[in-house]
Amino acid sequence: MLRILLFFLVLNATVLAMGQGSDNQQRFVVSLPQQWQESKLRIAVDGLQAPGNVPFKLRVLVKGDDEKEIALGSLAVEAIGPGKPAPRTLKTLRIDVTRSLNRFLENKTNPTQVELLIRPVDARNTPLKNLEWSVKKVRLETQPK
Amino acid sequence: MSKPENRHPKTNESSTSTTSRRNFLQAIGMGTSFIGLNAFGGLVFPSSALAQCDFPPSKTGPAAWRRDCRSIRPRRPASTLSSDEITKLKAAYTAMRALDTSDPNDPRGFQRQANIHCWMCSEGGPSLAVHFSWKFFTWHRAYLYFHERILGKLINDMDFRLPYWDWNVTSHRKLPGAYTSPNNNTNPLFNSTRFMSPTDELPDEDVGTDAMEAAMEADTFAEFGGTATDNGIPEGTPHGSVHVDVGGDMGAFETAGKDPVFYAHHSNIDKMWSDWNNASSTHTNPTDASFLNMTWNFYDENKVWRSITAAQVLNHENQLRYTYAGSRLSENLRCLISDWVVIRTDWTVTKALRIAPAARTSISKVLGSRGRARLHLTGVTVPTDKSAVYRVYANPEAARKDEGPGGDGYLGTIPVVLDSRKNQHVHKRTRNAVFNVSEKKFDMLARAQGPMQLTLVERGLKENERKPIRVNAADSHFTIAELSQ
Repeated sequence: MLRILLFFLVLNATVLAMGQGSDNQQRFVVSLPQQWQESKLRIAVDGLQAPGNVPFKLRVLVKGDDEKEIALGSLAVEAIGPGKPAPRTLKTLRIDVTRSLNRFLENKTNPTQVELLIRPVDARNTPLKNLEWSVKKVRLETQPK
Repeated sequence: MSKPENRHPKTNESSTSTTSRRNFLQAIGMGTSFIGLNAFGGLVFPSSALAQCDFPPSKTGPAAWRRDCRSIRPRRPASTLSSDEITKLKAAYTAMRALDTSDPNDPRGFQRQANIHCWMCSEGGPSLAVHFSWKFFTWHRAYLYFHERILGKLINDMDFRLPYWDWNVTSHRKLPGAYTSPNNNTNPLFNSTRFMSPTDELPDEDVGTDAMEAAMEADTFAEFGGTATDNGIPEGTPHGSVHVDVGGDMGAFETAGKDPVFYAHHSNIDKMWSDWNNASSTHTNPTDASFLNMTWNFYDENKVWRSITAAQVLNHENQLRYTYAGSRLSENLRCLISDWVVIRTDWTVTKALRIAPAARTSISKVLGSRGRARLHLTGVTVPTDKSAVYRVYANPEAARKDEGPGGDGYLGTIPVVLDSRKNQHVHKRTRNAVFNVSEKKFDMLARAQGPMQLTLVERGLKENERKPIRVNAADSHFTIAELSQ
């Protein structure tokens, strides 16, 4: 069963947590492989720790040349229950960003890495500024199409 | 962060009882099965615990689920149910909710049904958890199956099938009307904790083309449905996103089953699995014994404790007796509609849509007798500078207003998805489109003075950003079909 997982070229995405700003977001830099255009691209978030009583989404964004934020997608994190505030750790969450990341990168010349902003938001994509959260690692997984 | 609360705070005894039972189940490796629960013969749980989040107890071991001989019936989109279907759906949930008070020990009651999800997704512990692994699709299919049978039994209609909330359809992003109308406690499908209001729409990034295609293009079940230890792509998005977006009870594993829309949402998730299986001959389910032999227990409509395996839910049409209807039209197509008749227009000459008086009469007559009409556009040249959805309107003025489905001049959409990383390149520069034409839509077309300049406009832009594009198509014609009653 691990065969498929091993099939992924798990890139050792650099994790540069650059502090949490006013939107409670974190920045990560992930490296792009040589043949990224020919691959499915997935953001994998390892070891997400967050309270068990708050449903939220981790919105993955990039910044365009004009500093405008562009959403690549969201990872949903369902709560366990309203009476479960204790932090829990989720092994790995993934989101496929093949199309959205390709759209973002298609006009760039030989991109080698991407800076991601990851921000917890509620259902209406409003930043959850007071949510305590952390991640162990953020990776870019690729798989040949 | 604060410490976790005790799940059963009322008495130490109830808390201990639950914990020890859980530990016992885990200790004997019942991670995928409750078979042998009769070892607890006569076990009775404190009502305080049962009222919160416990699996319904049984004094006997489960009887194996064997076969279903009901008619094969379609599950239908929740947003397009007929009034009769809505009445039936509400009657079923009213009856299920009534059991909560008339017989709180009846495992078919709504709270007890919700508790199943709570137990299997939260309280039962890691070995019972049915999320974040390949248990996700199979267990939820089995859960909905027995839930559906119970609802059918309660209204004495075993042809009853759950509806599915097809949020992947752009015009169905709001909560289905039956679940919000009325939006109060008199509606058995209402849930007061929802974060999403009846006018809110699910965000496109959660349920739109990118999310759906990413799921449907998964090459293997491991990618789509997960492995023994990992979840598949759609379990996160769109599945989890819709839970979070609806919010309230839906936002938590423990409480999600308390919102009736949970079952319509999961029916669409189940449909995704079905669609994924049907999308390619290579989209097959795992054949490992460890997958096929996963076993779970549920109460059936007669309060009989049943065990069912993953292998028994893989073919929903044959084994579980339901299909998924793409639309009311396709559902009725085979038995109700005669051959389609083509009505030509002079498009190839004028490059505009003009409906001749004779054609107008024919189309109106068919629509007036509940027949079907379609507008076909062949070889529409589409912009190739980006992936986008274009709305087609009857004229440039309507395109500028861009009121969307049901609005002035709206005919339908043409999606354009770039299939190359390089900008301005698509596999095909033209598209063929077919739009259903309702009576209302045809009235709008028939009222037009002179030829209509059909117009495209990109969806989702602000008014000052819209750039209407006149439709350049090779041909346009109508087809009509009468009911073959």
